[in-house]
Amino acid sequence: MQGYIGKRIGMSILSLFMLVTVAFFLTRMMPGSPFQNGNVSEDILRSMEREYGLDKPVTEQYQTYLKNLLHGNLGVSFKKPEVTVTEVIARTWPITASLGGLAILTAAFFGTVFGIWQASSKRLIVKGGIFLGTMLGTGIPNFVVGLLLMLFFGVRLKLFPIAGLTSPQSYILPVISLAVYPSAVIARLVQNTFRVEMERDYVTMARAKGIGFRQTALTHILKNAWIPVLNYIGPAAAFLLTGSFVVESIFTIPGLGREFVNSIGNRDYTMILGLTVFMGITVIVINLFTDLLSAWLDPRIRRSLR
Amino acid sequence: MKALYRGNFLLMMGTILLAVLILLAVLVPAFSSYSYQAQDVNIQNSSSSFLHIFGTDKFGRDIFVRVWYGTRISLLVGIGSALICGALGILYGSIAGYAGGKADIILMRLADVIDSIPSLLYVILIMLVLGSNVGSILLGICISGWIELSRVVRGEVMRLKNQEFCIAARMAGATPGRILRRHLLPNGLGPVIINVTFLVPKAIFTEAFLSFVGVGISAPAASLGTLIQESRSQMLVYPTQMLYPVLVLCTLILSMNLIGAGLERKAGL
Amino acid sequence: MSVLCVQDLSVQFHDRHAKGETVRGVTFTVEPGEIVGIVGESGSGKSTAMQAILGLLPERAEIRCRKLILEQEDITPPCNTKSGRQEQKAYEKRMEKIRGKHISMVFQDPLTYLNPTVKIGRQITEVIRVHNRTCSRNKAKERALELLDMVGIRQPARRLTQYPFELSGGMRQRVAIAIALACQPKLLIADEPTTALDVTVQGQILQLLKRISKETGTSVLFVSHDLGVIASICSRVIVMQNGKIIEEGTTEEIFWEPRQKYTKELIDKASHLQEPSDKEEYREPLLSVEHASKQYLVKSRWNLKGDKSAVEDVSFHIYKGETFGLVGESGCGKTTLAGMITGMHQLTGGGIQFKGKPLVQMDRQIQMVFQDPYASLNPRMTIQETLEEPLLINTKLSLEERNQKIGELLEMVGLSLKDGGKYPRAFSGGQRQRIGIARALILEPELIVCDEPVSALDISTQEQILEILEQIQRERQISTLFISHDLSVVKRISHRMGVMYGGRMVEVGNTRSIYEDPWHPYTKTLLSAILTPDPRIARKRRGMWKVEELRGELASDTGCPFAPRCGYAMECCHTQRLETYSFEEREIACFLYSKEYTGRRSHDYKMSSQI
Repeated sequence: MQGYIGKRIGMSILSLFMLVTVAFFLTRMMPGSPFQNGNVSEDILRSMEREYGLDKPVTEQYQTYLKNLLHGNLGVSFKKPEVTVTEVIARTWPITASLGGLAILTAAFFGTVFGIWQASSKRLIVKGGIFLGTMLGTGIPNFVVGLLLMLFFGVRLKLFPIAGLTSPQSYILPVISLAVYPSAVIARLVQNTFRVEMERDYVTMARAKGIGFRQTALTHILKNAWIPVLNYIGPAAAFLLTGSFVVESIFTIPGLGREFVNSIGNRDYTMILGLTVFMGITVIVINLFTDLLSAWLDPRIRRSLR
Repeated sequence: MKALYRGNFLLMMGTILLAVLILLAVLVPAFSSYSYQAQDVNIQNSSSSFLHIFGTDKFGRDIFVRVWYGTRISLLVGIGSALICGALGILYGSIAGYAGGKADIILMRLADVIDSIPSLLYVILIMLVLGSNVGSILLGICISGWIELSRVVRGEVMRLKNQEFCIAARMAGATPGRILRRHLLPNGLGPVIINVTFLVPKAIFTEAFLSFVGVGISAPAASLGTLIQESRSQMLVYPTQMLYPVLVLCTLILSMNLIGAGLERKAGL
Repeated sequence: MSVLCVQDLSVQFHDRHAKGETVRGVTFTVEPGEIVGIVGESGSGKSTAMQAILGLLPERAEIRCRKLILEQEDITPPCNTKSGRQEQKAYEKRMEKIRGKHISMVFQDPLTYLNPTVKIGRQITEVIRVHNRTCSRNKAKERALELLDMVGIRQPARRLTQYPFELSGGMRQRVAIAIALACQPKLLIADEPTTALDVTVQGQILQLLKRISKETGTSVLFVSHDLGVIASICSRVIVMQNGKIIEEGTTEEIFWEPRQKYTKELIDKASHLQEPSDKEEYREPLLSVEHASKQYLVKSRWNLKGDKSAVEDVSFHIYKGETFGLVGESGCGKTTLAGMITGMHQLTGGGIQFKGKPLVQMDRQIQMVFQDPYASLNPRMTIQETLEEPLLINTKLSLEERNQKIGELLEMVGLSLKDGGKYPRAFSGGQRQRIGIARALILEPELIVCDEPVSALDISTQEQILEILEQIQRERQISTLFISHDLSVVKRISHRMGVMYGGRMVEVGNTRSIYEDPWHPYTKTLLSAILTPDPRIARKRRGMWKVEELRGELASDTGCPFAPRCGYAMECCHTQRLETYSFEEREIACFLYSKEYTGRRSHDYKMSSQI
C-alpha cells in the first residue's frame, strides 16, 4: 500500500507542478499590461511594474512565484493592492466550500436513491420518469438551472431569498442549482452498475440462500455499486468549483467563484493565477483522496498492495 | 441502418430533434431578411410577433435569427471538438493500448497528469490569452477533451488484442497496422462512437458556460451562452428573451444525450 | 415419504434471450438420503428445471407446475402469466424461508457465485442468521467454523476473515458447500459443482458430497453433463434431452441397460473417449524444446512483486507426423508453453529448435487452434475474409486459386464454400471450431498447436472435432501439439504425451504405456482421478484426500513442485534440484528414479515403475 500511496502522491505533485507552470506562463502571455489604464503615464507604469517585479526576466519571476507559493503566498492583487490573494481565498473559500459540500452530499443522497429505485423498480412509469429526470439533469447547464430557479421560486413565488447567503434558506436555491447535474450523473452511475451487479451470479446465490432483496441490495450490491460513484467525486469537485463561478454570480454570493469571475472582468492577473492555482490544488487533492479511498475499499486491491 | 433504429425510441427522438435543429441553424440565418447584428432603435425589446418570431432584444436585433445563429456556433464548437478530440483520442489510445508495457504506462500517466486539472480553468486562461473566438474555444476544449476517449479506446484495444482472433491474425503474419484496422477498431467501435457522441454536448456545455462567464464569443457575434448572458440584465422585465435561447440550448444538449443513450442501449452497455 | 415431489414442471422463456432452453413437463421425486443424478447435454434444460424448483428464474420465464411438494409443504409456484402481483409476492416471501434452509443450492463456478467484496465468514454467517433471527453473531461464527471444518478446510478461523479471491478453486467450492449446508437442509441441489474444477479436485469434492449425504442424511440432486461423475456418485439417474425426461432408473440400469437410443449414444461416446487408439510410431524430430523456461514479472495493479516461473526447464520433442498430447491442471504452464512454441512469448531460458533451426519468432509453419470458438473468429469478418487473410498476407495466389483453396478446406472440415459469405454468429460452437481448424491449416503448416480445442464443446461435438483432427493428421501428416486438461481426450488422440505439473514436465512417454503404467506419482494421481462412465469401476475409487488439497504455496523454490502433495516425498524432494531421467522412450522427473535412490544399475537394467 505504501508504494502505491507514494506513487500516487508523486503523480499529484507532478500534476500540481504542471498546473502552476502552465497557469503562470499563460497568465504572463495575456495581452496588455495589467496597469494600462489610459491615463497612466509611462513613468508610473514602469515604476509600478518594477514594484511588482514585472521588469525582471520571466524565468526569474517564475522562480520567485514558485518560492512564494511554497510559503503559501500567492501574491498581491493587481487591482486592489491592499489585499493579498491568500486573504481573498481565506475569506471566500469557506463560503464556496460549504455550498459545494452541501451540494455533493445532496447529490450523493438523491443520486443513490433514484439510481437504485430506477434499477430495481419494475414499474415502467418509475423507470421512465427517473430516466427522463436524469436526461434533463445532465442536459440543462447549471447556470440555466440557477436562473430558472431564481426566476420561478425567488422572483415569482418569493419563497426563497435570491441574493446573498445570510440565512439557511438562502442556501437552498444555490445548492440545488449546483447539485442537479451531479445528482443526475450519480443516479445514472448507480443505476448502471446496480443493474449490472443485479445480474451477477452472487446475487442469484444470495437469493438461493434465502436472503431478501432489501438485504441483498444493502449488504451485497451497494458495496460494489458505489465504487464508480466514489471515483466520480473527483470530477464532481471540479464541476462544483467551476459551477460556483456562475451560481455565485447569479445569486450574488461572496464566494470564490464570484471573485474569479470578477477578476476575469477586471483582468486582475495575479488574482486569476492565484485562484486558478488554488482551485487546481483543491481538485488534485480531492482526486488523490478519493483514489486512495476507492483502492482501500476494494479488498482485491487492498490485499494485493500489502 | 434500419436495424439501428428499430425499436430504439431514444435514438430516433434524438436524431429527429438534432436534424430539425441543424436544419433551422443552417437555414434561418441564411434565408432570414434580418441580420444577426443589425440593430434597430425603433423596435427595442418588442415581444413575439409575426415579423420577429422570438421578438427583439434591447438593441432591436431579431432574436429568432440570433438564436439560430448561436445554435450554429454551438454546433460548430460541439461537432468540431468531437471530431478533433475523437481523432486524437483514438490515435493516442490505440497506440498506448497496442504498444502496452512501458510506453503504455508513460503515455497513460501523462494523460492522467493533464486530466487531473479541471479543464475549464485551462480553457478560461487560454481564452484570455488568445482572445474570444471559436478557434481558441476549440483549442481549449481539445487540450484535455480527448483523454477520456483515449482511455476507452485503450481499454478496448487492450481487451481485444489478446483475443484469440487477433492472435491468429498475428500468427498469420498480419502487421500491427492491419490488425488495428481490420480486427481491433471495427470490433471496438461501439463504445468509441458512444463516447464521441457524449463529447458533443460536453463541448456545447463548455462553450455556453464560457460565454456566460464572459470569456466566450464576443459581441456582436453571439452564441447561445452569450444570448442568455445578455438577456440576464433584463430577466425580470423580459423573461422570454432568455427563455428562447435556454430552450434551444437545452433541446440541443438533450438531443445529443438522447442519441448517446440510444446508442448505449443498442450496444447493450 | 419423498423429500421432493415435482409434477409436470414446464418453463418457457418469452424473449430474445431465450436459447431454446425450456423445460417440458418434468416429473420426478427425490427420496430421503439418496443422491439423484440429472444428466444431459447443454441446452437440455436441466439447470433451468433446478432453478425453477427454487423459484430463482428471472421474471421473463414462464413457469407452470401442477404440483411441487417439499416433504409436506406445498411450494408450487403460481403461474406467473395468470397470477397477480400479490400472489407472486406471497410466493417469493414463502420461498425466502425455504431457500437456504430446506433446499439449498451449490453452483458451478464458486468464483462468480461468491461475492468478491464480502468476507467468507460474513457470507456463511449471513445465511445462518437470516433463517434463525435469534442466533447471535458469536453463535453464528461458531457454527461457521464447525461447517468449514466439516467440509475439510484447514485453519477455518483464518479463512473466515479472507475474501473469495484469496482461496483456491477447490476451497471456494468447499465454502459454497458449507454455505449450502449451514441450515441443515433436507435437499441439496448441486448444479455442475465440479465442472469448473481440476480433475483431482473434482474427486475430492465428489467424495465430500457423498460423505456429507451419508452423515447428515441430506438428499442430493446432482446435475452434470459428465457421465463419469454421475456414475461415481449417484444411486439413481434421470436423463434429460430437449427439456424432457427421457429415461429414469437406477445407475446400474441406466449405464448397463439403457433403454433409449439417446442414452445409449451418450454412454457410448463417453466410453469411446476412454479407449486409447493404436498409433504407429514416428521418429523424425520436427520440434525440439530444450530446457525452455519462462519467467514472468508478477505485477499487481501498481507495483512489481518479483518474478515467478510459469515454465521451468522443460524439454521434449515432437516428431514429424505425430500427435503429442500435453496434460496438466489449470495453471501448470501448458498454455504458456504453447505460447512459447507459437512465438507469442519470449523464452527466458533454454531454446526451441524447429526443423533443425532455432525458433526465434513466429513461424508461419506453426499455426494454432484455439479454445474458445466464440473468441477465435473476428465477429466483423465473414468466414471467407477470415480464411483469406493469411493467404493475402503470405501468398500471391489469384482470386480463383484462393477461393479454390478455401473451398477445399471448408469441405475438409465438413462445411462448404457457400458458408464463406456468412459471419461467425451464424454458426454453432462446433462449426466455429471447424472454421478455426480450417484457418490453422490454410497456410499448410507443419505443426498445429491445439490449445484445449474441445473443452468448450458438448460431448457429441467433441467427438466430431476429434475425428476431423485425426483425419487431418492421417491425410496430411501434420504434427499436432494437443493441449488439454481432459485426460480421456488426450488418451484418445495422442501418440505420445507429456504431463506437466507446476511448470515442470514431470513425465513424457507413449500414451498407451503411460496410461497402462504411470511412473510418476502425479501421473498416477491424475489417472486415478479419471471417472469412468461405469458405476462399478467409478464407485470403487477410494477417497484420496479428506481435506483440501495443499497448494504449491508450500513448495520450496528448489526441489520438486509436487513434493508437498506427494505421498512418496523424501527429504531430497524438497531440497535438491530436480533432474529429468531418461529410460528408453520414457522421460521422468522424479527422485524415485534417480541413481541415488535406485542404486547403481547394470548396463542393461530395465527400469520399471517404482510406485
